[in-house]
Formats: sequence, C-alpha cells, structure tokens
Amino acid sequence: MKVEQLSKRFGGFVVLDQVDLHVNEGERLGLIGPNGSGKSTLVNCLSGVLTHDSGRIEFDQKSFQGLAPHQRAYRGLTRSFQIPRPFVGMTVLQNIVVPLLFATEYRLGRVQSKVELKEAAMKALRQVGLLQKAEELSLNLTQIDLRKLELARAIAASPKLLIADEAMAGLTTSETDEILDLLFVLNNQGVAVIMIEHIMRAVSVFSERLIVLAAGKKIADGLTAEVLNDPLVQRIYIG
Amino acid sequence: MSRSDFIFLLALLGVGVAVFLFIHALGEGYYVMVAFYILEYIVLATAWNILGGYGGYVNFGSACFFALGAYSTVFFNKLFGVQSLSSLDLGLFVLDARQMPYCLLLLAMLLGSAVSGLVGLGTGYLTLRLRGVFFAISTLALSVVTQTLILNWRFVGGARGAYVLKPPEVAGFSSTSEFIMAAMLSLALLSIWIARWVENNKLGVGLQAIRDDEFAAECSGVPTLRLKLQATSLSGALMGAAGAIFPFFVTYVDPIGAFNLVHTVNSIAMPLIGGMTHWSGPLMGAILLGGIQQYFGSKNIITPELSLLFVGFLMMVFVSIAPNGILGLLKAVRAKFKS
Amino acid sequence: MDFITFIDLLLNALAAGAMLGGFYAAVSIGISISFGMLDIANIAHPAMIMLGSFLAYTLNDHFGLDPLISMVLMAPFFGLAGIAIYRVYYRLFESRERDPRRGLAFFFGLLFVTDVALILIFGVDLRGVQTPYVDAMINIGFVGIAWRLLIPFLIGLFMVWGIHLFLTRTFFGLAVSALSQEPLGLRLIGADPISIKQLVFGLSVATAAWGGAALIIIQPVEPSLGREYIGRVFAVCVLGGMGSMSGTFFAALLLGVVESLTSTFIGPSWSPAVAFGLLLLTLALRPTGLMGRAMR
Repeated sequence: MKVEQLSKRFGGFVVLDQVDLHVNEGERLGLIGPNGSGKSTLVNCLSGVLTHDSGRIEFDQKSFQGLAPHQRAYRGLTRSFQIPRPFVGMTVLQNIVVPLLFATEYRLGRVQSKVELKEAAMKALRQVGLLQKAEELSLNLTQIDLRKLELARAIAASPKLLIADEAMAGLTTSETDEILDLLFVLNNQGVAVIMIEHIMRAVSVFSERLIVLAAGKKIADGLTAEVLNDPLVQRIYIG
Repeated sequence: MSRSDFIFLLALLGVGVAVFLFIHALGEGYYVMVAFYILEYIVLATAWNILGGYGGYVNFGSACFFALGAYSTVFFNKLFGVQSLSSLDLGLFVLDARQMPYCLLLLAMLLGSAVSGLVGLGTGYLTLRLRGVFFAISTLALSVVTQTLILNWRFVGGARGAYVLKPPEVAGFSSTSEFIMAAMLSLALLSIWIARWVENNKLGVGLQAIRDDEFAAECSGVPTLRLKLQATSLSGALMGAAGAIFPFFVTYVDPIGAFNLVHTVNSIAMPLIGGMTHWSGPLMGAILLGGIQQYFGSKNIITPELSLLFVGFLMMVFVSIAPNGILGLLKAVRAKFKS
Repeated sequence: MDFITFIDLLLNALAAGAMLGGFYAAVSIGISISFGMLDIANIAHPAMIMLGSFLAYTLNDHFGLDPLISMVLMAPFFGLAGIAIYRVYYRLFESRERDPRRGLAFFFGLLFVTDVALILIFGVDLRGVQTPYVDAMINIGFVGIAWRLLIPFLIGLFMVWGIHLFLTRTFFGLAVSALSQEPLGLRLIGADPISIKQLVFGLSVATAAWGGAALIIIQPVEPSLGREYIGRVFAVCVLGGMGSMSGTFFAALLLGVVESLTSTFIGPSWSPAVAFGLLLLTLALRPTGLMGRAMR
C-alpha cells in the first residue's frame, strides 16, 4: 500500500498534514505517536470510514479513491478496532461468518456452502485459540477473548494487509504476548501488518519498520532500531 | 430450494388452505372482515420487521407505503377504467367478468408494490447514509407530505375520497369478499415466506450485522448501504401490495383512512410485542393485537381510539421492559428452566 | 398579474414569512436543544406543543387567561414533566445500552399516546382563543402585518435570544455547551452530566409550552395539527446546524419565507411539503446545516 500526501482537517483543525507512508507486501510496519497525533484518523482514512481531503491512497497499485470501507475490505484491507466491536447478538462463530460471507466470498467469486463456511470459521477460530468458545454469545467474552475475536474477524476476510489498532491496549503482559504471537503467525502466512500501539516493547519486537506521527505530521520513517534511536523521536514520544 | 424450505412451503400452503376453509365455514361476512384485517396486519408487521427488526432501522412510514399502494390502485383504476370491462381478450384466451378479478388483483398488487418499493428506495437512498434516527424522522415527515399531496390531487378524489368497484362475482368463490380475503391471505403467506428466506440468506446475516454494529459490519465487508436499500424496498413493496388490495375490500378510500397512523403504530407495535428476531414474532403480534383491536372495536366495548391508546401504551411498556417481545420472554423462560 | 400586484403580494408574503419564521423558531428551539445538544430525538415534541396549545385554550376558555400569561404559568410544569420524562428515558435506555432505536420507539409511543389522548379529550374540532389582538393588524407602507403573527415572531425571537444568553453567559449554560461537546471533561470538573442533562431536557419541554401558546395565537388548533410540525421542527434543527441558536433562528426564518412564498404563488396546501423537501435536501447535500458543527 502506498499513501501519498494524505491530509485531513476537521473544520479549521488540521489533523493529518501531508502524511506519506508505504507498506510492502508481507511487511511488518509499526505506527506510533502520542495521543492526538492523528493515528486513529489515519486508520479511519485508510479503511475508508473518513474521506481524506487531499492526497492519494494506493493499494496493490490501484487507487482507493472513492471506495467504501466494505469495498476496501474486498480488495484486501481489513482492520481491527481499538475498542472491540463484536456483533453482540451473534455467537462467536457467527461473528466470523460475516466477513467470510461477504469479503471472502467476493474474493472467491462463488457461493460457499454452509459446510465450507463453518470449516473456514472454525479454522480462523482455531488460529486465535477461540475454538472452544465458538457457540458462546460474543457479548459474554472476556477482554482478551474479545481482542482475539476482533483479530479473527479481520483474518477471516483473508486480508493482504491488516491494520491492528491498539489490539493490546489494557491487556496483561502474558495476554499481550498471546496477541503478539498471533500477529507473527499471521504475518508468516503472508499478511502485511500495520501495528498501531503504545506498548513499546511489542512494537519494537514486532516491527521491521517504524513510522512515528506527531501532531499530524510524520516525523520518522525507517528501520525500527534507527527510528527508536532518533533523538527527535525520543524527545517527542519516549522522553 | 432445500428440503427444509420445501417442507416449510408445504406447511405454509397447508395452513393457508386450512385457515381459508375455516373462515369459509364460519359463514358470516363478519369473520371474513376480521380475517382480512388481521391478515393485512400480518403483512404490514412482517414487512416492517424486515427492515426494523432484522436491520434495526425504525421506519415510521408504514402508513405511507400502505396508502401509496391503495392509491396506486385508485389511480390506475381511474386511468384505465378497467372495472367497467365485462370481458378481456388477452389473445391466447379470453377472461370473462368472473375471472377478471384474478387478473385485476394481481396487477394491482404488482403496481402497488412497485410504487411503494420505489418510494422506499428513493427515501432510503437520500437518508440511509446517515444515522438511523434521520431515516426515522424522514419517514415520519414523508407520511405527512404524501398525505398532503394526495389530499390535493383531485384525480384520485382528493379529500372527498374515491370509490373502487367491487367485482360482483368471482369464479371459484362464494363471495367477492372471500376472494379478496384469500388474496390477502396469499400475500400474508408470501410475506412470511420472504421473511424466512431473508433470515436464512446473506441479506439476513448482513442486516443482523448492521443492526449489531454497522461500523464493524461495513469494515468486515458488508455493503451496508446496498443491503439497507434492499431491505427498505422489499419492506415498502410488501406494504404497498397490501395497500393495493385494500380498496377492493372497502370500496371507498380516502386520505384520512388510508394514511391513518394506526397502520404505522401497529406495524411497529406488533413486531415489538411479538419479537423482532424471527418471522414468528410479527405473526404472533399481529394475531394478538389485531385480534384485540378487532374484538373491542366490533363489540363497542371501548372506542377504536381507546384500543389504539392501549396499543400505543403497550408498545411503550414493551419497549421499556421487554424489548425482545414475547419471543424474548419465552426464550428467557426456557433458559431459566434449563438452569 | 401586473407588476404592482406582484410586488405587493411578494412583500406581504415575505413579511408574513418572516413572522412565520420567528414562530417556527419558537416551536423548534426545543428540538435544537434536545436533539442538537443532547442527541435525544424527541419526536414527541410536536405533541407537547399541541398539549401546550390545548392547555392555553382551556385556560382561555375557562378563566379568560391570555395565552401570553398562560405560557408563563405552564412553562414550569412542562419543565418538571420534561425532567421526569428524561429520568424515565435515562433509566430505561441511556444507562443500559447505547441503542437509540428503542428510545425512538419510546418517544413515538409518547407522541402517539398524547395525540390520541388529546383527540379523546378535545375531539377533532378546531379550538381557538379569544384575545383582543386576534384580528388586529398594523400597517407599514403597503405591507400589513397581523398582530397574531407578530406576537409569536417576537416570542420566538425572545426565546432564541434568551436561551443564547443563557448558554453563553451563565455558568450553567456554559456547562451545557461543554456537555454537548465533551461529556468527560465535565465530569472532571465535578459537574454531574446527568443532572445537567435532565434540566436541559426539562428546558426543552418547557419551550413547548411557549411554542404551543404561540401556535394558538396564530391559528385555531386541532390535535392532528402536530403532525405537520414534525417535519418542520426537525428541518429547522438540521438546517440550523443542530444546536446552534442563531442557526435555528435563521433556518426557521428561511423555512417561514419559503413556505409563505410557496403558499402565495403556488398554493397553500403545499406548505408541509416545503419543510420536508428542505429537510431531505439538507440531509442529502449539507448535513452539517447552515452554520453548525458536524453530525456524527
């Protein structure tokens, strides 16, 4: 995915100021920045929930201009939400069936049978470790399970790029590691991942490259180790 | 069609035939009238539930879609003067006066559903991109405006209303009223079939996802706008079809009666009280509430306004305490028994 | 028609429209507050206005009270009712889940119950008030303005100006403005959002008392009249930018003028359609309204 000169304003307030970034196939990109730096807005613009004011977004060498979020999901971009948004009236399994039924089916170009759907859903659940809870109502899940469900739902859409928006916020150390492992496994399967996080340990371990946002501007973009040692980054974010 | 679908179709047809024979056996025209109204409410409630219950988008325009169906019948009736024809030559075969009503009614339903479906689509297209509350307000305003337009449209009778002739005889039925009731019965069965079909297919899953969390649904690949428009058009079309049959039964249509808020209230209260997650909910709600209203209305125990007040009040009670309706209460009871 | 007649008609229509607009501001301000600021779609508001009108009628009929006096008397009771309604609404809906749809059904039920109750008590006949100014007019050049239009216009103007002052000058009012933008911040300074919200909603319902009195000054009322106003008040609210007082006033003026022009040059029966048309147009083209903030 390639993003060029992305800008977005709310009224007179410039939230994103000509941000450039790119993600290569299968890459692990980290995105960090203090609160209010525009990370959520960026994610919303990338996934199509918000329309950017200027700039270009290209995915797979094709423009994303004017595409609705569900169409971007069809093309292979999915996201998980910072605060989990399960389909509360459905069981865990049914939650996974939704993206399978829509995004994946579109990609396959044919109708899937009920058996196929169930198998694919089970597979996704097994991958995140929620298989035993398949028949439970999603609103009864614990925090960590909800996070896993978020990721499972994003994975079920067979994405080429997954934006993991603070998937580990508020979790214990061991729970964070669980999610981290999941993301690594996913990446091994060829899915590019943009990890947006505040938990520095996770980001530094996971990312190959790191981008830093501050006050709507990109202030660093490069290999993780280099960026973390950049004095500007340290001053603004870590220090 | 899968095996369970086929069995359901058979069961539905069986129930339909049984109901018809039962009403027929009762003999009096009174029962035919009661059956007609309850069946009409089954259609309205089931249709409303497709968008309102499955999708979570409250529609306050049921009276409007219903009335549009009724007035499309009035309009085309006046335009083509079909009813004065005593026979119709269709080339392949000729219909005589006793067979004409079949053709008439079918045509009316198609036209009524087309008109209402299109209006639903149009309104939806303009307002469904926004939050659900704007759609709700727009449908409420739409009702008022359409009523005003019809009130001022002299061609369809305006405030004075319009008359639609009831065919004197119909082949195969002992009275025309019975035939029309049978038409509404068929529509009711059709709407139940459609509701169940929607529940079990992709549209239903998508609507449920929209209802639970539209944002997440959209990002998971659900084409939310398209599905909402489909549900709105379908819902509107069914209501329009019911409205299209209405003039043939009552023979006199006027804007106050056709656009009566009672249609709107009932089409919301019935699914709410019966249960909005399954096609059986609106069915139960329609039979229960419709039955109550017909009973009290006919016996003059309480005035129609009072029974309406009762329905509105009941609706508020249920929405506050038992939002999942009778179905929800049954589920809760069953869960308590298990544990 | 000749030019002079046209100009005459036009000026009178504009004047009447402006007056009507002021009145529309009076009836819509409640929605600007409850929907624009608190995000509560109180579709029962028009029914509350009708209640205000009918109470003004009753007080006029039985005690000879002028509606202008009645509205001052009624307002506190309406306010209390509003607080009570909010508390019920909050307990049942807002505190439990974030589903606004059940709240809609609740208010619709309220609308409906009030509507039918009014029909049962007052019947469907038109009821008007007897006041000394009901037929009088003042003339400015060749434009005639009826007192029964001017007074509601002044009521509307007063309400908008008064509430605007309240929101910008008093501490409570500022808290309300802050609430609609950032509820969390409010908690941090020790103010309780819920008690503020209930008072604000009470204020919103209290405006219905004034709006109802203004309505019955303009014309005799019958219960189903409220329905025409659903489209109008929400059109004004959305067009005016959801919560901006000045926006509400100008949007109401716009609506009044367009309706008046339509009525004069096309036909009076099309008036309800104007509001609806404006509402749809605004929603489709510029959901943020004329001067307000974003919706979502």
